[in-house]
Amino acid sequence: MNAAENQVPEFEGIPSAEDLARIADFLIKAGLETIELSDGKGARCFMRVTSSVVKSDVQVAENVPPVEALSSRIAVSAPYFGTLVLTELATVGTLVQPGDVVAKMRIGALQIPVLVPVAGTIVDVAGKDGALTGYGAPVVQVESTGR
Amino acid sequence: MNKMQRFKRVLIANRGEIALRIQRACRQLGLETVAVYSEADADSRHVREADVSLCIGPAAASKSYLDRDGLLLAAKVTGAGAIHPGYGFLSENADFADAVEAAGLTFIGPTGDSIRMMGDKITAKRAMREAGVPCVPGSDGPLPASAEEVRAIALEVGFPVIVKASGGGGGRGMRVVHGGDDLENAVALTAKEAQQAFGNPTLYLEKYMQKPRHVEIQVLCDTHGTALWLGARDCSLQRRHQKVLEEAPAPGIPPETIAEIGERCVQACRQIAYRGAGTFEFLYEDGIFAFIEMNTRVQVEHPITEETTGIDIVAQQIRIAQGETLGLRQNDILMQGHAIECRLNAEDAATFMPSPGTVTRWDLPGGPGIRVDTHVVSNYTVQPYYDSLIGKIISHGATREQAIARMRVALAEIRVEGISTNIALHQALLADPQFQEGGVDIHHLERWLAERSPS
Repeated sequence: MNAAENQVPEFEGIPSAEDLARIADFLIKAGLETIELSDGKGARCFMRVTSSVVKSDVQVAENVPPVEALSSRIAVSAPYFGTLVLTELATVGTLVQPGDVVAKMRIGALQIPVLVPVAGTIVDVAGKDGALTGYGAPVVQVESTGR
Repeated sequence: MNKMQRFKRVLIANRGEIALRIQRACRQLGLETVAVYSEADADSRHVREADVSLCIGPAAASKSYLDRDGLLLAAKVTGAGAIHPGYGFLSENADFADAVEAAGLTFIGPTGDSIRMMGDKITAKRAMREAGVPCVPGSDGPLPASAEEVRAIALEVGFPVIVKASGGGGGRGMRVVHGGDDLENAVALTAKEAQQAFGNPTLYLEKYMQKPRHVEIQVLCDTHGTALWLGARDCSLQRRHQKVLEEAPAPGIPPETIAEIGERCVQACRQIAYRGAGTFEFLYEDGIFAFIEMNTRVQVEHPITEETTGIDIVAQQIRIAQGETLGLRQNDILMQGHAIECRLNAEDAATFMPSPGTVTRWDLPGGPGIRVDTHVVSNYTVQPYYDSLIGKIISHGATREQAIARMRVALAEIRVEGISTNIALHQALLADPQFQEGGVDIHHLERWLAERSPS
């Protein structure tokens, strides 16, 4: 992984504020916390992205299924890969509450729930029961009822 | 012909050009492939063409290509029997290799123990020395705590010396010391950096070679006692310890000299029961070879050896992992002609800043002796999350002059639009009289760049 080296400018003295912001942005996107730059003559610059920034970013990515809002329609996507096992809630017309399990991603004995993030009605079921399903693939769409 | 196969389906735990290269080798051997990919790589060619494709996580490599547990689960859910790690990512992670085998799968590469031994520079050097592979004079082990003892070692080796972190690599965790006065300070600083960067403050010391070339030997070893060397590559053209252009064989080094060093390498392989493909990297100066490290995986520059020997290294890796014999003897390996590889990067040719974006035009070269290994197609988007390698142009000719001429024509034929590339840098390098003469040292490219820069 030499992506970091390619994303940061030549190190010739303290980077400008603009460069620092760009490097920090890269670190967050790449899921990294620290980076060290040196010029071989002994000058070094050590950067750490504060853990609160990294953590909040990671939490969004890990704990909440990827959500895409299309007006009041919310697409619920697979939070992990595996064999998709739809529950009885994954039926068009079903009323759902936040935290309801519409499907599970199964890998052997491991089962990861696919949770609904909002209250509403299931209006589309894109996931195929029993199909090998990748991370981020659409499972159901929920028409949200209110905020 | 197909006897008992250990596996029929291979999970490719990588991305980009090497993922496509592995997929091609699998197909030619009649094996199915599983492409695992991050969300950012959903449009990759090898993903579209694989027998089974599975998105395993977001763009961040730590949650996709470096996610050991995720990769093992992906192998399970897709029914893969083997994992090919490619280069980079988890290819030299001994714990991953062990975990793959512990899960009842085949790791297409050496054992975890071999990777571990070569990953630690001190144990690697000791093993090589014992096997008769020439090494740089140095401390032959961790530096002692006493400054007096360190000074005695440095005086015996002779200044300048280089102080290196045992767990380091890729140009990090090292410091050159020109005289005794700076030694104590340099050791303290490097130990502190090594602790911070690698979690291991252990250091060693070596004679600092001033203008060496980087010459490496490719080996292939099966699990039935056959170990072969496939000639040498010269990878001296580097910038910031990243190889830019490589060639095989190494210009100006007599074949007998290479044969002697090659024999010692395969002897070392037999001694440590190495299996699969590997590369012994050496510094070469004034007729002396000095072992630096062994790479326990396929390398980016493997195609130039494939061109000069006619051996498909990736296919052989897979056959070895199936438990097959190499079916070759050293005498069967003929090195013919000369081959050059130019690494195409999506980067600014002058500033080297990465240039991610969508490739709107992608016209590739052709003709006799030209090979292109790339995952890029028209309208492919180069992602900012990974390294900037977008392809490799490989030329092969009867002579070095012919290989250079073919490469120059090939580079002139390429049309890339939408992103910046380093094609102009390669063209200028191939026109450089010192390069054309052959045998430049590892500092040549950086010196040459500094002379060309206007400031």
